[in-house]
Amino acid sequence: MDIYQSTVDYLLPFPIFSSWQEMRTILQRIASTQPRDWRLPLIACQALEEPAEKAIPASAALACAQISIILVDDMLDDDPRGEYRRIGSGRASNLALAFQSAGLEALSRSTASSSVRLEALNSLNKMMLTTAHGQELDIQNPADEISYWHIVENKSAPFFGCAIQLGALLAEARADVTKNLEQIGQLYGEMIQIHDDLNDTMAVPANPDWLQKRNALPILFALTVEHPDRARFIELHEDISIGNALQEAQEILIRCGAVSYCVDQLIRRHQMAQEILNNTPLANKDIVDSLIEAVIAPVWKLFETLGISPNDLSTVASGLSQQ
Amino acid sequence: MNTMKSFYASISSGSQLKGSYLEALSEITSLSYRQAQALQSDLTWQNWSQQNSETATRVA
Repeated sequence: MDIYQSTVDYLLPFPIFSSWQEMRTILQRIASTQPRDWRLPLIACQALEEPAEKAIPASAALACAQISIILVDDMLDDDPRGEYRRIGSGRASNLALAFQSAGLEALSRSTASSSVRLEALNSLNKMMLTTAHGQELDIQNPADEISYWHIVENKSAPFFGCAIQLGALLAEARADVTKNLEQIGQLYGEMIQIHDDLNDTMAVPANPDWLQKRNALPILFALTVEHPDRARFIELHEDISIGNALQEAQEILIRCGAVSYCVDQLIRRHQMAQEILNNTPLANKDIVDSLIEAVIAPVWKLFETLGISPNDLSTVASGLSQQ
Repeated sequence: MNTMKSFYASISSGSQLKGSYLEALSEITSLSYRQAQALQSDLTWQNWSQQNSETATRVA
């Protein structure tokens, strides 16, 4: 089954998509890029060996929610690629509201039992509320690591937790299994956020995280930890666009342990997700395992450059969740 | 909670790290920028923008 085509086919007959061409255009264009996250409800369904069709309303709801979130996120970030640049902030806001509601409609139109639908609607609504709060916290820019992780818990983890939870709910999984899958999704979301920060921070030319003085995780580490290059880093951070400032700052991020810290945080979450998965009765664990492994794969690749195999590292990292 | 500072203290503790998980993490600090690029990925929760051309708008 092509989940992207199925998602579009499920949503387009809704009256709002028939009467609002911009919504149709956006949905179809994004579906054509096959966003990885839209597959998450399907992965939960397949892990439970339930028919893939059960996941379609969940994928549709998630697709609408994600479009809504990013329409707003682009405005908050002043992202030059944002839809608001083309149609203006007011119309982009209207579209965001419409997609948010379309996500709820996608679930309410599902053929699942009324109790399952209600639970799924509650899950999506709670995620949207939490994410909105997370976005509000994020624009205030975290000044310390407690604030940073609080934002991640509100802004990134709920979306991915909800994505997998919706798939499990519509597949009528047991409550404990649904909860475990949601937790795995949340950890996965936190890992995605760490990768996001690493990618943005290490990108060339300077990413908006640098230019707008946003405290991505590696930058926050280099600004707050007392390492020998801290004063120089603060100086470079003040104006990253001068000369070789970006390159020098990125080299400091590696040297001071900021990248190591991010890797440690990725490994810890990977370990926790694996432990939850090991204790979750699923007919097809491999599909969830593959999801978790894909998000830690760049870390194993990095250690391979140091001559350290993933097996060696898994051994020494075991028991980390107890620390 | 102050895991950043305690993490830095741990990986900076030199000889105590031998053969440990922390030693592996501390070795990352000696990588070049080019080597560290092994960490780069398309793992972001807004990944569709990376699949569009540079001139394309984010969602349209």
